[in-house]
Formats: sequence, structure tokens, C-alpha cells
Amino acid sequence: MQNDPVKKWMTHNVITISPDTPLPEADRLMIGNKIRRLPVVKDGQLVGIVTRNNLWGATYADAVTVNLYELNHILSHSTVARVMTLDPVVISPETLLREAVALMMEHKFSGLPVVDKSGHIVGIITESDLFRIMAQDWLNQPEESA
Amino acid sequence: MRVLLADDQPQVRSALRLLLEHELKLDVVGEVIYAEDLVGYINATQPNLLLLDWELPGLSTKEILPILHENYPNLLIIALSGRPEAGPAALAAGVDAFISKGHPAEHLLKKLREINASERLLVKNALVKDWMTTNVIVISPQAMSVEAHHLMVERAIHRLPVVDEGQLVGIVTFSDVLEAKASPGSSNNGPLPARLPLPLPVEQVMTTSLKTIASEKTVGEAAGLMQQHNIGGVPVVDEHGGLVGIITASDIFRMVVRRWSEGLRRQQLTP
Repeated sequence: MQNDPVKKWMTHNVITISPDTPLPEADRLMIGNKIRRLPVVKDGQLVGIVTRNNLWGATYADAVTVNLYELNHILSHSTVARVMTLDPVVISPETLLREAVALMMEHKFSGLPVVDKSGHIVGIITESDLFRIMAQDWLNQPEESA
Repeated sequence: MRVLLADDQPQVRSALRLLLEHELKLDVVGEVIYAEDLVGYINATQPNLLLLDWELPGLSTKEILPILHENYPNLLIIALSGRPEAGPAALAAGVDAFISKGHPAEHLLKKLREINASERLLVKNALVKDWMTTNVIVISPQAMSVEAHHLMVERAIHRLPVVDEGQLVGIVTFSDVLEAKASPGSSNNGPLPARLPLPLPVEQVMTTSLKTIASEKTVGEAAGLMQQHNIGGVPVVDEHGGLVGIITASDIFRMVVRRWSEGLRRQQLTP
């Protein structure tokens, strides 16, 4: 498995978001799809990544300095562009899985967007997807003794 | 697994390469023809496994094996020979396995599959207690959701075991404190954020029917539990039901990945 190209294991249908999306909408998109990160795409190009922690880090920082009404106002007028991470680390579909996970470990990322040569996002690979694949593999394995 | 081939016969090397790459999807990282190039190639390619022709020209097995053992303790070595009678001597010299070239390729495949399987078992059969996180960040059932939320954001974690007077009474996740049982049609469905932590104590939003695992169980069992119940982490309890740790999908993922980059010879997996 570790020597397979990433394209074999990545999720192909990536849910993306525009940098102009208001934060509450980004939040709902994550909750609704049970995901923790969204690649940010503008004119077909990947421009950033926004995670639940970016979102809630921002709201929390705001929440301690303003009251609830002001917070509502700030949040509903803030967009993904304000909190996203710019120029995220990306990999190509041909990157080997072990290289991808080494990058994830090194940067402490739990997911990496996969882009083609022209900068279009073609997939995403996440720690939890890979865990599911491994655990399934273990469950399917006949019991053997060590 | 990264494999280095050392054999002077081109047809043997190409047959082995085909077998390894196509049957087992292993990485052949280099081919060595002369014994004197062995160490240089190992340095350059960092293989996990060496397939070594026991009759490699120039090979002084008495000299080279101690060097390999000394410098590459994690390198697994399988000796291949056209002379089956060389087996005992090769094993005595410290190779991990001996395969006669006269035998069908199935023998080598079987051996390599065993190695691959034991690799996987090494992680799967490791014990939860050796790999769990022991400094668990917990919260009291009387704390407010907003505190739980703050703690999770601050520590970048996704779940908190809820502990009351030393007893594990529940678990609360990030979505619990936010989505917490908001009544339909409330302002939570409106266009504004409003998904702030609800003004409720943790005990009203936590999950009480929680899955736990004993510290003596295996990592494989923990993974199975998480997979079956679609959860990302399980609190670890001792025989009295006391919380002693937590093991998450992310911990297990890291274990597997670390094994990928380490050698194969080490039989003990050290946390």
C-alpha cells in the first residue's frame, strides 16, 4: 500500500469552497459533510485550505473580545479568505502514499489536497480515510498468530 | 518495502524484479552485480530487504555479514543459492532466511508474503497500553459546553472524556457541544453563525453509552472498534473501569506509517 500512487487511495469527489464564502456557510458545509477541512478554489485554481480549527480559532479569538451581537455581525461579514491558510502544501496524483504521509507527519497535517499539473484539484487524501482503509484491511485479514 | 537485488546473473535479477514488483508490489531500489559494491549500494538506496546471491562473485560471507549486521541492524537479508546444501551455513552466518534457487518461485513469494504479514501483525498485535496517550485531557460533567469547546480548540483535540470523581462517565466531542440538541426551527438554523457552544453543562450534551477498551487489548481490536462504530477515538480503562488513557485513529495511523519508514528486522515495536 505504501508504494501505491496517491491517486489509488484518494477521495476523488472533493468538496471545495470559494474564498468569498461567509464563515457560517463554510462551517455548515463542514458539519453537513462531516469533514474538517475544505480546499479553497478560485477560478479553478487551488488558493488555500480552511480547516475547522481555522474557523473556530477565529471565532474564539473574536468571542473573547466582543459581545455576542457584534460577533454575529463580524462572523456573518467575514469570509473564508480571512481565515484560510494560503499556498497549502499539495501533492500530485502520482506521489507515492508513503511520501504523502511523510509530508503529513512532517507538517502535522491530517489531510493533503491532490492537484494536477495545471493546479486543478483532483482529490484529497486524509488521515481518517487512510485509517479506515487500514482498519478494514485488518478486519478482513484472517486471524494469524504472530 | 524497499528491496535491493544482489546477483551477478542478469536473467535472475530480471526474474526477481518481475516477481517482486508485479506479484508483491515491492519497490526494487537497485541491483548489485559485484560484492564490493554492496555496502555502497545499501548506503545509497537504504533498502529494508536484501536478496543476496550466496555465490555473488567476490563475496566473502564471513566478512560481509558482520559488517551488514553491525551497520544496518534493521536490514532483512534473504540468501539465495543454487546449492541447497549452502542453507545451514548461510543461516548460521546470520541471514534471516535461505531460499534455494532450484525451488519454484513460490517459495520465495511465500517467504516474502510472510514477512509482509508479520509486518502488519506487528502493529495489529501491539498492545493498546503501550501506544495510548496517557496524559488525557478530561472535563467534568458540570463544566459548561463553552469550556469544553475552548479546551478542544486550544489543545487541537476532537474529544474529551468526561470524568466525575475519578469515574469515566461519558465522552464529549466537538460536534456535541455545538450541535447539541438544538430544537428544529430555532435560530440555529438561521443564516447567522449562532452555532456557538450551547449554554448547557457538558453532562447534558455528552454521550454516555460510550465504547471503551481495556489497556491489555490489541491495537487491532481498538481499530476494529473504531471502524465498527465509526468513532475516532476510544478511552482506555483499567480493570476497575478507571480511565488510564485514550487511543485515537490518528495514533494508530501514525504507528503504521512509522513502521513503513523503519526497518523490518526489529521484532519489537517500541513506542
